[in-house]
Amino acid sequence: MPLLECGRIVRDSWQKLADDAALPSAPCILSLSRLQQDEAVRTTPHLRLGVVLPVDQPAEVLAPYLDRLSLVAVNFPTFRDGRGFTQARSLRERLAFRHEIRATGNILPDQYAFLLRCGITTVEMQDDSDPAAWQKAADRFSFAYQPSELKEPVLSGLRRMIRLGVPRNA
Amino acid sequence: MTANRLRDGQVVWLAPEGRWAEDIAAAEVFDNGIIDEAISRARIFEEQRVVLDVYGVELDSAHPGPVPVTERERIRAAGPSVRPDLGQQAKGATVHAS
Amino acid sequence: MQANATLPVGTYGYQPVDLAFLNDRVAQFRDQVARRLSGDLSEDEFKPLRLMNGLYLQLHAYMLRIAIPYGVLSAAQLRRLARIARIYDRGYGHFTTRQNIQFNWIKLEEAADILAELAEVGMHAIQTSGNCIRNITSDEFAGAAADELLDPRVHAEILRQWSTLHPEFSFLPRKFKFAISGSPHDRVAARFHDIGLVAKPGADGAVGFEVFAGGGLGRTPAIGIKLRDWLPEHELLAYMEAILRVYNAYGRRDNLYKARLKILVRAVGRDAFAEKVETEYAAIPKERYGLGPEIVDAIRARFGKPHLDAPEDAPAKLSDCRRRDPAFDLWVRTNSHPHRAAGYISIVISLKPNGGIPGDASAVQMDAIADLAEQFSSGEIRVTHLQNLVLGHVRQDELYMLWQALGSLGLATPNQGLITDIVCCPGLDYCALANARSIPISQRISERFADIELQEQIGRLRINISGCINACGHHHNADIGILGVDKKGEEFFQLTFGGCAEEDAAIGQIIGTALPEGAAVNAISRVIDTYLARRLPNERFRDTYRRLGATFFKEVAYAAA
Repeated sequence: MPLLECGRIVRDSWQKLADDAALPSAPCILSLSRLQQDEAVRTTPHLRLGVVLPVDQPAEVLAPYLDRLSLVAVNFPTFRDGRGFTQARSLRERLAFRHEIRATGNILPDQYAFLLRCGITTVEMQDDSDPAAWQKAADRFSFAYQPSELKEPVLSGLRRMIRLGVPRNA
Repeated sequence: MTANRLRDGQVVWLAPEGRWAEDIAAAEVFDNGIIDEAISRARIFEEQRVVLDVYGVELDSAHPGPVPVTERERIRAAGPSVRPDLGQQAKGATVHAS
Repeated sequence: MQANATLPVGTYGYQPVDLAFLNDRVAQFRDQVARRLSGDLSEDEFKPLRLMNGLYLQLHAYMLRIAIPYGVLSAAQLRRLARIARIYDRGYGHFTTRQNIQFNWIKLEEAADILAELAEVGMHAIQTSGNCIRNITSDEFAGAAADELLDPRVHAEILRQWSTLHPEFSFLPRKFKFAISGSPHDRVAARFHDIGLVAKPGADGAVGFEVFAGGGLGRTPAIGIKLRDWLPEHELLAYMEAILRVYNAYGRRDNLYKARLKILVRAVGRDAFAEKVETEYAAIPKERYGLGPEIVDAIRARFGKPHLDAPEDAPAKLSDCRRRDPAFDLWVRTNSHPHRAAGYISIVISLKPNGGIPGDASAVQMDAIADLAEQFSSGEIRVTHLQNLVLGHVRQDELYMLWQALGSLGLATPNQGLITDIVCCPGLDYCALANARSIPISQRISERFADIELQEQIGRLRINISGCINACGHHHNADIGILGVDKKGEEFFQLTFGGCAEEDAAIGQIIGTALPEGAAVNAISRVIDTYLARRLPNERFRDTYRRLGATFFKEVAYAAA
């Protein structure tokens, strides 16, 4: 599946690791249960690890492992299920997670700006998606009325200038 | 069979030859036995983005012309019962809301 | 007196950057409609997007719900609504129980054009539907009422801005409704909202809020729990973020009918819920979400002030007119509300004419009210959640002229708060969700109790009617609530008694099986007769009901059945 970052398709250096698969040497995304139970994988040096955060789990469940994680994947089972937005924000704000947060599942391009402003950095898209359409959707508004996980200068009052680059603490 | 026209939300009724009519009087009447198949075939109009939400409306066999059994569909066909000047009923349609 | 032409009175004056935002929103929606019509978006994908611009597919056509933030309109905005009614709809609009307006005959292909016209006057339909934060409702006498401690509309506007296109909270489990009051006398039903705020000054006059959460009506009415007795102003947005974050994370996603905040609060228990909120709140970076006084002042500065300068003899002139014209005197008795400024008064324009459709206004009436607002009330119109309109700042010595003008428009029905001031959802005549029609039974009740002397004798009494259990007519909160149900294809009406939306909040009790329309109206007549016969001096209906009991009133209601 194509990976979207900053409005462009980028190479995906990650692979999903099945629970019963042996460890590769390449960066791999584990299930939460494997991350929690497989001490060997956690202690393998030089292995970049990511995890899939189940949609019904609070981000805090990753707290003991954050120093070991380079990627967290948040999932949108349908585009109407907005829990991934809260998970991403909690990772950034409460847990000070600084690495890649990837959105997977069913997402509309109309949600791209919301994803980015919640601190998500990459989006796993459906095969026939058009990254230009996603960027166009994200660039629609020039400011927002609330703060976000991005470094956004105050415009006036409650307004912040939208800057859809890298999260403030990444 | 009924639906809402996608572009303007107008209540429409499937008439012969694949035409969607605004007046229920023009609607094609289907026997109970073949209605499900007819609805499946009519899904093409949803795919072609002509209408939304095609479904069947049961008719009151006591009437010669198409008159829905339920109050809801009668109001849908005729217009609001409290505004006889609005909807199909104002254009001389035979079905009334109440 | 003429209104200040630069800033709208009582509502936020949009700056060019805010208007540009609205235009961006229109362009976004126009693009979404195009993608729907081209097939790029399925209906399943498009539906939440159009709902977040207030566009429903309803019984007759698309219905557009336009936002009237905290229920305040400028004359120019009301005129624009009249134009929308004339050009794009069928010449009328319906004011709702959340202080919004609905148009019932909208075409999808014209919706973006309508939003563009609304944007020109600082209006929109943003988030009036969908699983997001909806219109923040407020007190119809805000900024005028003598019993007000704080004008809540500035904070309502702050909450509106903060909730607009919120990146984290635009895809909630379900809809989310706020109400904010500035008076200890709760006219906004704060305890029946997802979040209800009662603004009150603290020590040294600092601004703070009582915070209620988890209230609501619908299928499972619930009274909100109190989370905070006094939340300081600068913590307002941070605390709201905490509540919304808990809701977004833990609200149910598996069952549409169990997804509201009230369900979550009851499922985890009030103490556990409060603890979740406080834990979340403790972790929120306060500096990022702080609401500094300079921000509040900047937004307050965008609210125009009413012109308040009455001659000293204004009250005397009003008394004089009242003495000389009994019909005018009656209308002032029923439809006015005391104003904090000397020589001024607030009045209610009843949209409940005898036998009429509650809450509807024609384009002609809207234009005329806009003119009257400019002439008599600083250009400001309020929409109440009881589906009436208010002119908040009328000079007492000009009231008689205003009343005469309203009378010529059919807008001087003297029934505010009385039995024929019925709150009624559109029902099966308009709504695809309804099980029964609601408007006809409201018309029958209105006709049955048309006699104004009888209405005054009965006194303040709230009747609310809903056409289905979604309860958009808020029937749970009424002295007499009526719920339309479908029994084997026939319309029946279930009665509830003893509800109340104010500080002594109560949910109405079902008193027996549903009745057909005629029998239901007769039952209400018998109940009212009994109330008149058995009440103690000055005893309100709900108190008589509580004193004599449900069993007693059930027997009365069903006496002829």
